[in-house]
Amino acid sequence: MNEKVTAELIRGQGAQLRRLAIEESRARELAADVERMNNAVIDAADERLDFNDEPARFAALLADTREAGKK
Amino acid sequence: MSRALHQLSLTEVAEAIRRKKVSSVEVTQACIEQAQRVQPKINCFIALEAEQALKAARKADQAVRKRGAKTGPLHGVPLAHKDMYYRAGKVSTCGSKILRDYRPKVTATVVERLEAAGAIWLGNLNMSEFAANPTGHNDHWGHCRNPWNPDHITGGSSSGSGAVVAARACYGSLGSDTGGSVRLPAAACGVVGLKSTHGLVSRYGLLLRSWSQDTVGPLTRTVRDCARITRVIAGADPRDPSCATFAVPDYERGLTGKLKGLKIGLPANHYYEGLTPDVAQAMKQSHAVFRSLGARVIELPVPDPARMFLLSNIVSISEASVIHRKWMRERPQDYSLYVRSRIEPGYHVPATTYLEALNLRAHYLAEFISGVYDKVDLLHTPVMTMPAPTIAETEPKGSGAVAEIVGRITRNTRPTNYLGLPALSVPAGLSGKGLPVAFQLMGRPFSEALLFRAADAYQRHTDWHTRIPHL
Repeated sequence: MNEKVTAELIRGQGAQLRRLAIEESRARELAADVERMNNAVIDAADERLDFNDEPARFAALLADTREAGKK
Repeated sequence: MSRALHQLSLTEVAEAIRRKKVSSVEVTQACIEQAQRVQPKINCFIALEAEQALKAARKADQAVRKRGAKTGPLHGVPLAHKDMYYRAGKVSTCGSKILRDYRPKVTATVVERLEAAGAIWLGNLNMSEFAANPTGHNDHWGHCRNPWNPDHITGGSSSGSGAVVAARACYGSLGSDTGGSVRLPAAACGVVGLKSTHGLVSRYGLLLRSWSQDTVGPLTRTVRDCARITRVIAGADPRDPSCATFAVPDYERGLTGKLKGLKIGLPANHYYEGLTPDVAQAMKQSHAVFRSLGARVIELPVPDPARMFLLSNIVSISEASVIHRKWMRERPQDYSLYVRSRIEPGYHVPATTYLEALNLRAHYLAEFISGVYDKVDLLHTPVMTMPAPTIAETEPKGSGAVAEIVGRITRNTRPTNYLGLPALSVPAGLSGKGLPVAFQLMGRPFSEALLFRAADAYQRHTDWHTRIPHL
């Protein structure tokens, strides 16, 4: 299932969840933007993530793979 | 000294002050005069603190005259910084209308470290509003203009930092880089700029743009100057728990000029696509310089930077939408179109999407290291695919145009912020229209010493960093 993100969804979400009023034309632009970015994350997450992931792994990996520590 | 004082490099002038060949008052006065001369043309300062700087310079000179005085590596050297480095009680506008009179209660760790090293605060520099656009446009304080041609952008968001160093109105500057904001103005203005490894430099006491990707870095005239400032500001800080705790190397000591056996990778995909002929030519010439110095220059495919660009953007807009939530609801009219358009999408990204983008960082970093840095020591790419466009060309006609302009300018810089890796922008030529062109060297985490060594060796055999715009 991969339905389009619509301007209605953006406007409703803005008004109901964030107390933001968004014009129709801007909502259409935002819908396209959000859909593109959201799909990129879902696709990447499906390919790579599992239940052991958490954001702090990133900083640990930076330290582990640093220049001075290179094997 | 045959060159005018303001034309010396930071390390040259620091040495001259230390040896009492010149006084800090003389060099500070020279910078103030140059700043006052160029300001009407390029609008690089938001506030020039001439009197306070001269007072500090007099104090620095008194210290030098004391017998056995110990001076820091930046003693008496005037620097000016992007107007987002807090000093307790002093105005820091962050390039915005909203914070026009903002007086923070704290002082940034990096500011304290520069002061401890003896640097003089010359003034607060123009920047993109809230560090949120890569062109340098600023509707509230006036656009900062490129010293090589004032019709063109400086790049941003550290616009004043790039312009002031290129214009020789101070010896170095701190910028910040969340998607290219140090490297883009460095490239567009023909100076050196470092995007430091995530965690190398404390971010305590400065404006947040996207806390997961913000980094601090200097813009300078030479690589050696950049190495000096980086050593001063880097290192553990208990007030910024994201800061790494290992020792900071003596970067200048590592500038040996030797590159024999170094493997430099050229990405076969993404980074070299769509270059203008003058950028392509400058890149080719820089490859030849590195080869002549004994480096092996190898083409290799890299994990898809376009995907990392999108993921970086998700993280950035999500965090910015939280930082700006109150003002976006109560004072949206006080933001420029550029900034408002770049914050807005964040309110519509699900929290799960944001967290997945963060969780993916370690995976992409691991892939990038094994796919690239297990094969080569450094990666070489153009910073921008074209020389700096004009201010008019990058003026957005509406919200929808902003993403396209931002994407075009930051396509080669933003992926690095997602990966947290270091990158150094180095001047590499002038276009047919006399605008600077630059490459960036990228390395594995905390490889700043290697970046400096390679770029310094390049500067020993080229003179692009010595070219000065006629203003």
